[in-house]
Amino acid sequence: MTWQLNPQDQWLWIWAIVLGAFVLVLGLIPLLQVLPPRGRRALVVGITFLAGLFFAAEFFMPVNEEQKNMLTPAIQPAQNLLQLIGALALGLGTYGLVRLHLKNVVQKRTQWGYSVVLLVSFVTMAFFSIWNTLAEKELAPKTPLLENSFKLLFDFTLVQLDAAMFSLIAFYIFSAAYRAFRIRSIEASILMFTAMVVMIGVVPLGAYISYDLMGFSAEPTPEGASFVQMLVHNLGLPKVANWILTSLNAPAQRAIEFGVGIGGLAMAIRLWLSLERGIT
Amino acid sequence: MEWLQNFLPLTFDRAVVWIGVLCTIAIYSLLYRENPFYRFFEHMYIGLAAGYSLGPLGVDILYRYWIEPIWVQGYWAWAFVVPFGLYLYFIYSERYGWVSRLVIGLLIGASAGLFFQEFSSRYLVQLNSTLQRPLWFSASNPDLTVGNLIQNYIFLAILLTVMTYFTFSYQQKGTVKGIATAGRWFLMIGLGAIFGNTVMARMALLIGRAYYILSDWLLIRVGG
Repeated sequence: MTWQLNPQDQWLWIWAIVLGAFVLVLGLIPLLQVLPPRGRRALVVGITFLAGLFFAAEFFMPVNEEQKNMLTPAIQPAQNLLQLIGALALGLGTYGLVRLHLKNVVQKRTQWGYSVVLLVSFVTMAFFSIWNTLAEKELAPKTPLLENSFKLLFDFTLVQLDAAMFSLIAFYIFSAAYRAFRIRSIEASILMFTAMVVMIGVVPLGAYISYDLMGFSAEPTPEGASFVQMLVHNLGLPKVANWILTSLNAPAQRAIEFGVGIGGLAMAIRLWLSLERGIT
Repeated sequence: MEWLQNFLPLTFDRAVVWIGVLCTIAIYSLLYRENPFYRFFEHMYIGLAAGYSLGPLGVDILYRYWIEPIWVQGYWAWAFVVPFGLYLYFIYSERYGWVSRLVIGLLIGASAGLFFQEFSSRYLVQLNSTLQRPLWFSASNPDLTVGNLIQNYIFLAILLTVMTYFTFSYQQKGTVKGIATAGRWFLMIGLGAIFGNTVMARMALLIGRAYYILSDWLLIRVGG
């Protein structure tokens, strides 16, 4: 049996296989429905275990001189498969969003007019986004209508809204910080002091205060300097901010990451073995 | 007069700048209070973002990983992937909803398997680099300076104290409680640094918006 057909000569076969695959895989559902609840769960658990086993086995199996084992060639197709199913899952999310807002419009729920705005902007953008993607692959014509419309919708609307929405968070961060820093504890004071030093230190204002107003040295520490000289050379706010980020922040971050890593590993094993009941 | 001519949305290039500014002002109007103008643009934003994702994340991936391998390269076995992935859409069916869990199980299982690789390539490398930090002068570390040595001790001390703070397997009391408290303070330094960095990143976006309004819309020369 050959895994590859010639698309030029055997295109009819390819179409037949694709149609057959749809009929076979979707036609399997009534048969799967016959399974009792325990059988269904066993099937889900089995697929979960085998999918995890494939990647785990590829990682743990011994490799040859080329750093490969018998499963390595299948890794890329497996990852492509995951991408493909991920893209279909994206469609599911979109379907859920459209379904909800269509219901709002049809049933004329409160503020259904906003749902109309959402649906109209969704359909318009989807049309031009898909057209643009196909045009980039030379599967559709690239017309001035497409270029201008996509530019208007993407560059001058979506990108602008995106930047405005994320910059809006700056105001809320200030508001949250004000409330957080009003709590007078050692922890809040340390956090506020560090944040202040980093914020001032990473902008030109920090350099101006340290080097121009206070007269600290902006030069790097000279070779063979004593410990005291080294300290004196590094008292400027930009250097202190950099030291906080690299020497104090980095180990604290790493400790958090180790915790996340160990927790993630434990959770991965639980998911792989279907011990997390709510999911599989 | 010339400024007014350039300012007004009389050409396509100017009209789109006006639209961009309108979007920005609409979003910022939330700072005053929740209002219909903001709600309109908020819904438009969600619709545009969802619609846009269908192109590069939907059609592009579908073409690259399904249509191209089958109809251009002739690998027919890929034909079975999309119908299987469509099982996901049965999630809304009361009767057949469980078949969507077959696909979800595949995704979860694969993610769990891939985490072993991630753990090795991400966390073990970090652990290795942490443990390789020299803590005393020796012939194998001729370039080690007093400054670096102090930095290494500080690094290790912060790492261990913060990890102690996150260890909940036993009751923290006595010396351990003291170490955990120090860990909490070090953690505050780390979180303060992250907070400072986040604020500055958001400020950069805010400055970008202000620059867009002043320079691109009002045509005022800002900066050099």
